[in-house]
Amino acid sequence: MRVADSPTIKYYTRWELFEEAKKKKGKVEVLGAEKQGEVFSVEGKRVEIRTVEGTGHAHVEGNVKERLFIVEDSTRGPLFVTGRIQGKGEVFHLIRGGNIHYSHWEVKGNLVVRTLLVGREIYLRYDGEGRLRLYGVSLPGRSDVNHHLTAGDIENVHLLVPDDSSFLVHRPLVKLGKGGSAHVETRFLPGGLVVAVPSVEVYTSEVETASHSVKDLSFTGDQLFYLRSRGLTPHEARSLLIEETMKFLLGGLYEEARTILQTVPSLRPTRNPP
Amino acid sequence: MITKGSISRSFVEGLSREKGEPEWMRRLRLQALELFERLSDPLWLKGIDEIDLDELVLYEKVDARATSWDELPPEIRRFYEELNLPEQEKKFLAGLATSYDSEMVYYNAKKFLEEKGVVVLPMEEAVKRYPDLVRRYFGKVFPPAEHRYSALHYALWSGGVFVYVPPGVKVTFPVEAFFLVANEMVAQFEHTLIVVGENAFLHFIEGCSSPQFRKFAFHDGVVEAYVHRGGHLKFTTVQNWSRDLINFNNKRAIVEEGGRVEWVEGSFGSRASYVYPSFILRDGASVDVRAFTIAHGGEWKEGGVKLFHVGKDTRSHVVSKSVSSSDGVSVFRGLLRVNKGATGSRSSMSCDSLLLDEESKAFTYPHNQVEEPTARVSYEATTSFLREDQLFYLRSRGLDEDSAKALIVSGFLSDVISYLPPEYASVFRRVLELDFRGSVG
Amino acid sequence: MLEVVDLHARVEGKEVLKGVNLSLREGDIVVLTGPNGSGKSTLARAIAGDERVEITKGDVLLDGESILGLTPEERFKKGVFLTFQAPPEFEGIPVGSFLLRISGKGEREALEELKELVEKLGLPKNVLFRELHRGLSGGEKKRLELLQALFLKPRFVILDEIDSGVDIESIEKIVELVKELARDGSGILYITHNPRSLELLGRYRVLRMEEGRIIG
Repeated sequence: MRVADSPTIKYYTRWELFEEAKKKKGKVEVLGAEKQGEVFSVEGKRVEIRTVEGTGHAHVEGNVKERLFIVEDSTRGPLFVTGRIQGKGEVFHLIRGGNIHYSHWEVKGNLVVRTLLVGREIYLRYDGEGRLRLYGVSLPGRSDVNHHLTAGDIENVHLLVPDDSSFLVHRPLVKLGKGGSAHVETRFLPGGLVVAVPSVEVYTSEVETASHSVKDLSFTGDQLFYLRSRGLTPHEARSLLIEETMKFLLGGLYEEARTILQTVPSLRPTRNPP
Repeated sequence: MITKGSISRSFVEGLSREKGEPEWMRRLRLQALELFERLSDPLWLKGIDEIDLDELVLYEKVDARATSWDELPPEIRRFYEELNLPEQEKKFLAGLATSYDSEMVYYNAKKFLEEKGVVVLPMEEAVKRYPDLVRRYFGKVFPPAEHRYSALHYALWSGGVFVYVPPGVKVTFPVEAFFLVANEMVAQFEHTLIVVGENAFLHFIEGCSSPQFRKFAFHDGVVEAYVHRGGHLKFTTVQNWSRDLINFNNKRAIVEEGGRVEWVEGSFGSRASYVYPSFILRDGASVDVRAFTIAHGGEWKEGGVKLFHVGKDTRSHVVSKSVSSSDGVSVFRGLLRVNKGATGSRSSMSCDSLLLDEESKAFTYPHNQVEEPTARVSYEATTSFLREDQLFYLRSRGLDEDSAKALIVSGFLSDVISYLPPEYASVFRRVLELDFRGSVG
Repeated sequence: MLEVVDLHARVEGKEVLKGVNLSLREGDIVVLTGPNGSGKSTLARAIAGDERVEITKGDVLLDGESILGLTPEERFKKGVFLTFQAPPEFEGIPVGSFLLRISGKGEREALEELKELVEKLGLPKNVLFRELHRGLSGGEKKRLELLQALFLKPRFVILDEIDSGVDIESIEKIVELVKELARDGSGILYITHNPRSLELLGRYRVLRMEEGRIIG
C-alpha cells in the first residue's frame, strides 16, 4: 500500500517523526482477530489494536456484516496500522493514545464510518470507494485526516475541534466519474489552527451531484436571537449546536465516547433545564 | 518544462538602455534575471511543455500586432464581422490602426484627470517622469521572487500603464486604459501599476471582450495595485486571448486600513491560463471578487483567488464561476489564510462550476487555513451540469442548440456579468454567444 | 400585564419607533395592523429583546416592572414569546429534541402532545425529526412557529404575521387556534395585514401603526 506522498500532507504532518518511528519494531496486541501470516483477520464485531511496547505495527483485514468497532490505541507506544475493511454496515473507528499514530485503511462497500480522533500526532487516511458515509470528529491535538475517495456515492463530513495549541487538518480528495455523487464538508470550531483542503475533481458532466464546503460552526445574528428568545443563553445555544452536530456525526459512537468528550473543555455537554 | 535558448544580461541591459531607464530599474531587471535562472518551475504549472526564450525576446522589439487585415487568423476576422463593429473599431482591435481617434473621444476625460492631478501614463514614461513615485511601489506589491515567471517578467517587462490618483480625488468615470494608452497594452510582459491615494476612488477597466490577436504565444503580465487608507478601487478586467496563447497573469492588491477593492475578472480563450488575483487585507479592509473562467475543448484554464486576512475586521467575498465544454478543464485554486490576530474577520467564498458535456472537467483545490478563533469563514462549491431536459425546453421554444447553451451559460454567469459596466455587459453577452458557436462541433 | 410605554427605538441608526404605547392582558387578543415599514416587526423584536433594536426612550413593563434590562432568554423565561416573521433555518438541530429541551416537559407526555399538534397543524409527519425550519415552505415555517406557541402556552405571545404566506382555509384554522390559546390564558399580540384575519378578529381591539406610532 502506497503511503501518502503529497507535498501538502508532508507540510502539515511532522513526517520525519513517522519516518523514524516506522523503522522501529516492537510488540503489538490485536484482540478480536486471528493472525494469518502477516495479516490480522477480524472475526467478530470488535477489534482492538494496541501497542504493548516499542513501536507497534499491524495489518488488519475485516469484513463488515452490520457492525464493526475498531479501537486503535497508541498509549503505550507509537502505532502503525494499515488495514482493509469492506462489506455493508456501520463502522466505528476510535483512534486514541498519546504517541505517534499512523492509520491507513482501504474502505470499500456500502458503509457508514464514524471516526473519532483523540491524540497528539495522528495521521489518518482512508482510501475509499463505493457508497460511503464518512463522518468524523478530530479532537484537540495534532491530526491530519486525509481521504482519497472515488465516487461512487460519497458523503464526508468532518468536524475539527481545536484548542489553542492544536493543528488540525482535513483533506478529502474526491475523484468523480460517470454516475458518481459526492459531497464533502469540513466544519470547525474556533481556536487553534484549522486547515481544510477539500479537492474535488469532476471528470464528466454525467455526474449526479458534486459539492463541497468549509464552514465554521456558528450562528448568524438571527439564529442566535431566535434561540435566545426560546430561553437559551448564548453559551447554551452554542453547546446545543456542538452537541447535536457531534451526535449526528458520531451516532452510536457518541455514547461510547462520552467520557472522552467530557474531557474537552470546549465540549462540556449541556445540562438539562430544570 | 523545458526552456530553449537563453536571455543574456547584455540583452536586458540593452533593453533598459533603449528605454532610457534610471539605474534602479536596470538593477531590478538584472536581479530578476538572476532569480529566473535560479528558481525552479512553480508546482502548479501544467499544460506548458516548452518555452522558447529566444523567440520571447524577439517580440520585445517588434510590434506584435498584425500589420494587415489578411494577417489576422480567419476566425478573428469572422468574429469582428459577426459582432457588427464599425470599420474603425475592427481595425483598431486588429491592431491595424496607426492613429485611433482616442485623443478626440477622450479629450474631456483627459482634461479632468489633468486638473485633479491624476496621472495616467504608459509605464515606461511614468518611470522617467515620476521616478520616485513609481519606485515607491514598483515590484513591491507583487515581487519578482514570487515565482519563476514573475522573475522573468521583471527582467523583460515593457508596456503597461501607471495610474496614480492623489488623496481625496474621486474619479467618477471609469478609466479605460485600453483606449487611452492603447499602444502600450499589446506587450506580452506589460506591467500595470495602480495607486489609489487615501480616500480616493478609481474605477479602472483593462482589456476587452473581443478576441485579441498577438503574434507571441506566451503572455506574462503583472498588475500591482496599492490602495491607501480609505481608498476605493474598482478593477475590471476581461480578456479574450487567441487560442494558442499561454497566459500567466500575476495580480495582487494590497489594501490598507479601511480600504475597499471590487475586482471583476474573467477570460476567454488562450490555450492555458493561470490567473490568481491575490489580496492582502489590513485592518478594516474589504475585498469583493467576481471572477469567471471559460474552458473550451483543449483548453486548461486556471482561475482562483488568494486572500490573506492580516488585519482585524477584514471582509472578503468571492464569487467564482467556471464553465467547461468539450474536453476543456477549468481549475480553481484558492487560498484563504486568516492570520491569528485578524480578529472579527469574515470571509465567504462561493465557487460554482458548470459542465456542459461528458468530456468537460472541473477541478477545485481550495486551501483554507484559519488561525483566528473569532473569524467567520464560509466556503461553498457546487458543480452543476447541463441537463438534456433544459436544452430540450429551450429548443422547444425556438432556440438552436448553440444559442440555448449560450443562454444557459449567460444565466449561470449573471452573478458576475452584472458587475461589468453596462456597455461591457452587452458586448460580453454577444461575445459569449459567438464564442460558443465557434467552439461547438 | 405587558405594557409598552412611549417606546422609541432605532435600527441601524434610523429611527423606527417614535413613541409606541400599548397594553396587553393575559387572555386578551390585541390586533396590530399597518403598512409595511411602519415598524410592527421592529416593535415585536424590541419586546422580545433583539439587541439590534436600540431603545432610545420609553419602557417595556411586565407586571409593572421594566424588562428592558433583561436578555432575550430571560424574557422567554418570564413568559414573553415571539413567533418570527422569517424564521432562520438551522443545520443540525432536530425539532423534536429542541422543543422538549426548551419546554422542560417530560419526554413521554410531551411527545404525545407534539404529535397531536403536528397533526392539528397539518405539518409533515416527520417534522419532529427534521432540522429546525430547514427545507420547510414558508407556510410550513409559520405553522411550526404556531406549534411552538401552542405547545409552550407562554403568558404573552407576539405573532408576527403568522398568517402571511398561508392559504385562506388555513387562516380560518389559525385564527381558531389563536382564539383557543387566548382562552387558555395567553395574552396575544396578533400582528397582521391580512384582510381575512382582520375580519375574523373584528371584535377584538385593533390598533393601527403608521410610521413608528400607533394612530387612532
